[in-house]
Amino acid sequence: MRPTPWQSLIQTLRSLIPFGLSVVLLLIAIVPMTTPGFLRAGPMVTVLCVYYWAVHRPDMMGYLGGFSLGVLEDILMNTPLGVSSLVLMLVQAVVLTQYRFFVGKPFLITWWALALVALGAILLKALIIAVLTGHVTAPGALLASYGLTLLLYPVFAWVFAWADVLLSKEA
Amino acid sequence: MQTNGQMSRFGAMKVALHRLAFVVLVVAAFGLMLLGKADTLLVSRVGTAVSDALTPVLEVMSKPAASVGAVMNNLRELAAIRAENARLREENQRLLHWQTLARRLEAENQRLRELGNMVPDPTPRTLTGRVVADTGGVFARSLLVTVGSRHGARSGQVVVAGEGLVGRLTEVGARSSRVLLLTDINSRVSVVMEESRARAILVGNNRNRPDLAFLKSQTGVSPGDRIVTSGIAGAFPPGLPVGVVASVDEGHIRVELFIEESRLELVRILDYGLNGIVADPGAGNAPP
Repeated sequence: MRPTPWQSLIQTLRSLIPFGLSVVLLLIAIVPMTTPGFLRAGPMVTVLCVYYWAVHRPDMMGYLGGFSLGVLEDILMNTPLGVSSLVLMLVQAVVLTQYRFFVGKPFLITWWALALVALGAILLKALIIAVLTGHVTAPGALLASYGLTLLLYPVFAWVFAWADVLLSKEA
Repeated sequence: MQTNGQMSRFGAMKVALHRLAFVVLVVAAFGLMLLGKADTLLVSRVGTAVSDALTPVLEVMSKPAASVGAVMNNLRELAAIRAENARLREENQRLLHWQTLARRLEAENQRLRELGNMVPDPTPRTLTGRVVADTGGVFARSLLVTVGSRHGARSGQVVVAGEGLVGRLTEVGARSSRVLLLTDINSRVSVVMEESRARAILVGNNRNRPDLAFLKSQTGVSPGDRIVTSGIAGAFPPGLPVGVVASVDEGHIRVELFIEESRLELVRILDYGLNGIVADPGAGNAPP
């Protein structure tokens, strides 16, 4: 049976939930929180987003989603345009090529795998920015951002898992 | 059998399209990087338009965050209220002494200005904006504020908070502007040591404490020395408080800023009518 236009619209809107939720989390991350200094280390929020969806529901956020999220991040963060897009798509590509490894794995394993993926992502981003701008980022700052990214993953995974359950129920 | 064949063909086509999309988008990402180097004005305008469009959303989102922050601040202050009270009493005594001294100096200054027919410093026009985004991170440090060209903001204008210099406007949209913070790696501000009048450049490093560079000699520089803007190059007026020397190591002087970037809620934009080193390319936007 062919879906009605209304059903198609609902389906399209549902498929945008992971991307929309990622945008909301990115905006929340830059809203001034008057938080303690260590939280200003700048966690890689978008890496967490694309990583989760690539591991759990690769059909819900494709390369176009990663690209668009990266462009938005670069604009908001004032970093060279295109850098985050490239890094995010490479994160997606790495996870998708190892998809069999991730299927059915417990949370701790995916967290451990994130540690490797995020390390590659932040080093690559720092390298491209150094090439484009001539500014080398201090290793301490990279380490702080990396550590905070890993620490935040359970929170992000919880939010996304909630959205994932919602999407599965309605499917 | 035919259906199975069709399905496998469909699957192979989907995989091929997926790969093609990846390649095309990777090329597009490199294209954007090149575009960012080749046409900074276009990229800046697109960025300003996007920031402008998102500012109302960020403004709405920042209000509950500000309320939560205020509650947390209150709790923190309540916990330390006795110690804070004692500190404030002591500070009050000290400030009263300074007030007396300042009044005497003000009167003396006034007399000397009259004697020398000195032209008074220009009084800046002031705009106040709310900080709606703090993009402090590893690779760049900037703020988005709710003041744009429709309110009279122009790129290059000086941004201050109660305690001292914050940075300057680099991208100005219709209803929002980007403030390049002093800690951003692209920030360079000509400063002077308040006591010795030795000139230097405050260089951002994407950390909380920027570096003091191009100082002729480190001798005589010690932690606690005050640093103000020098006014050279015309980007900033002279005498704006910037911070104090935090540490002096071999070859490295770190500066503790008077402002605390993570606690900025409202900032003031001062228009001294200086064009400075930031060129305004007609539309009120400038590359950072």
